[in-house]
Amino acid sequence: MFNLIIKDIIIQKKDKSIFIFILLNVLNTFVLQNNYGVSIFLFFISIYLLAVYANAYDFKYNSELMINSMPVNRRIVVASKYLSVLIFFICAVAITLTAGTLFHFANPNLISKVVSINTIFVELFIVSIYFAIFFPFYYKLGYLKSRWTNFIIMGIIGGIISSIADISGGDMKFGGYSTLVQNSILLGTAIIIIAVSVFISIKIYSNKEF
Amino acid sequence: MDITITISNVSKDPIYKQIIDQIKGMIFSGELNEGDGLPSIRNLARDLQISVITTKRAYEELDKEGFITSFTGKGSFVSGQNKDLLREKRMRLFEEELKAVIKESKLLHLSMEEVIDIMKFLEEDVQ
Amino acid sequence: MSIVLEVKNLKKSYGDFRLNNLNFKLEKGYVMGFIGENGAGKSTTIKLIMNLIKKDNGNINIFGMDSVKDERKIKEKIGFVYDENVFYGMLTINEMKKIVAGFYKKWDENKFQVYIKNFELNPNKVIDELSKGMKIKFALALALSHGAELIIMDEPTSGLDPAFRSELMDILYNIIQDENMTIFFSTHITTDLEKIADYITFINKGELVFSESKDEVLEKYAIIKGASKLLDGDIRKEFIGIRETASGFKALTSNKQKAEILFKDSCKIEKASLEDIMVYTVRGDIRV
Repeated sequence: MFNLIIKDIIIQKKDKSIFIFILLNVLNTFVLQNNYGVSIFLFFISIYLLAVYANAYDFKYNSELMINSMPVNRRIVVASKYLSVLIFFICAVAITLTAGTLFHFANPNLISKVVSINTIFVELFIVSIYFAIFFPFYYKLGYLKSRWTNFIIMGIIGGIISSIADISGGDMKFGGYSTLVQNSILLGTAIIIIAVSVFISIKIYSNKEF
Repeated sequence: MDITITISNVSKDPIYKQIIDQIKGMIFSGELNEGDGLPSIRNLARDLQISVITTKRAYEELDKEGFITSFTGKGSFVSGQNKDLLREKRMRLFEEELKAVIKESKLLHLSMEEVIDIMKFLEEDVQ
Repeated sequence: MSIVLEVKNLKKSYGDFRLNNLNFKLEKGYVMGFIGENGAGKSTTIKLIMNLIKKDNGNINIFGMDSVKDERKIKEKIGFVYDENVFYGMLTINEMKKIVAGFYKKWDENKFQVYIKNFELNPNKVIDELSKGMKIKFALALALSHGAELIIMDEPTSGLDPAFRSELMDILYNIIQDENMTIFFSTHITTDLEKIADYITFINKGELVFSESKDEVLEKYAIIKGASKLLDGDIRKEFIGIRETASGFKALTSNKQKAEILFKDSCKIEKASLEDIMVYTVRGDIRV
């Protein structure tokens, strides 16, 4: 399983995608000061980029033929994609936090806000929605055709982000819920939709023919 | 054991038979002696670029006829116990050759005595 | 004698193509050549064996285990070499190897290094820069470095020159010095199999034509050459395929013994090569 996740990263090391991923998350520290909506979107895009590049290479090199000829369970192949996204998420958060903290110490006037816990949970929620919807389509339609569904899902995500940004304001608080309750709901929902998505993707992939 | 076997693709005989004949020939001629080891069926297949089944078949027949004995895991060796059988076969071949000589001598209108004289004369050359 | 690969009543249809009732067995320690023209069903069969596609009917047993139920255990012991490029081209040989090694319990790094050296491959070369022959050798090095006992190859020599094909044959001969190794190898280049194959399975338009020992096949089949006027209705029935021209006919029969009696003095009777067998079976009767 980890082998597959490392694979998703190694195949991109000669591309700019990893560099852009890091850059976007560092730049996000600045965007975060003024514009929550855009900041959440950039965060999401950095992860999306890494995930999609990996899929593009799997498609270009027909590597699924090789992978499924090796002793690996199809369930694991699917699970590792979701896990990759989780790992990208954790890295993105780490980068944003680190960059934010460093810049904040360097120049507290320029960088007054470092990403908050609430924002992180909202970001987790957004990333989960996107991939929970996207992956079953990716497994069903294949890399090329699923790029169309991509636009639709992005649109939905964009809509959700704007609504969140409008509703909550600077500190990402909605309707008087406590931090714990709010974040638990976001986390819980994320887990449930991902779990359903994994189940569907596994079913689709188990029956896929190469 | 390095032995030389050459397969002909244009011969009428199937390959396994060519191998059998050549090994028998080496045993008759004394090139291969009792106890000598033969190349494994896989080594031989690789060297001659033929299939393992072909070499296996050749060795199985040689074993059946008593020319070689195969031990699983150890390989195949030229048999000893069959000296008599070998000799008997060689005698038969010898008689065939003599028959051919006699036939030819009749075509040349030579008498049996003349044939024996020629043979005595030639014996000196063969030593 | 243990049976390493057994295909029973295998059926698969997709779209226009149908694989119908395929049956054959391969025992441990032997090489089976799987021949047929392009589109006959060879790749489909291999994909079914590797569980890359699902069968409609039938059974595939590998090492005595069901190819679907025990897929993971089986694949630890299968080394595969495909015609298509399946490696990430941007990676070097070493980088790709590290990914592949992680999938196998019995990965043997020392063995891999020996093969890379023998095959004269540079481990730091990027895969996109390798020639097709080098890619095949790389695939073979990977296939042989994880304790595999069955090597499955799908058209490994297509598009490669005779010198490479001869080199590959030598490599395969060396592999089978170990009697625990079994090789199943599909190709439409039959000359490769004339030498090394122990068994031949011939498939045509999705149907099994025969699956027998190569020596027996080559002993049974023959090419008959003679004057066209000899071809009456009964005689035509003796043949699998006839090529008629203004200068006479050439035909394939699967009963050399009978032909030797029937055509003893009237025709030339010659050995049929695997290529002849394939071509005459596929093309049937032709008038040129």
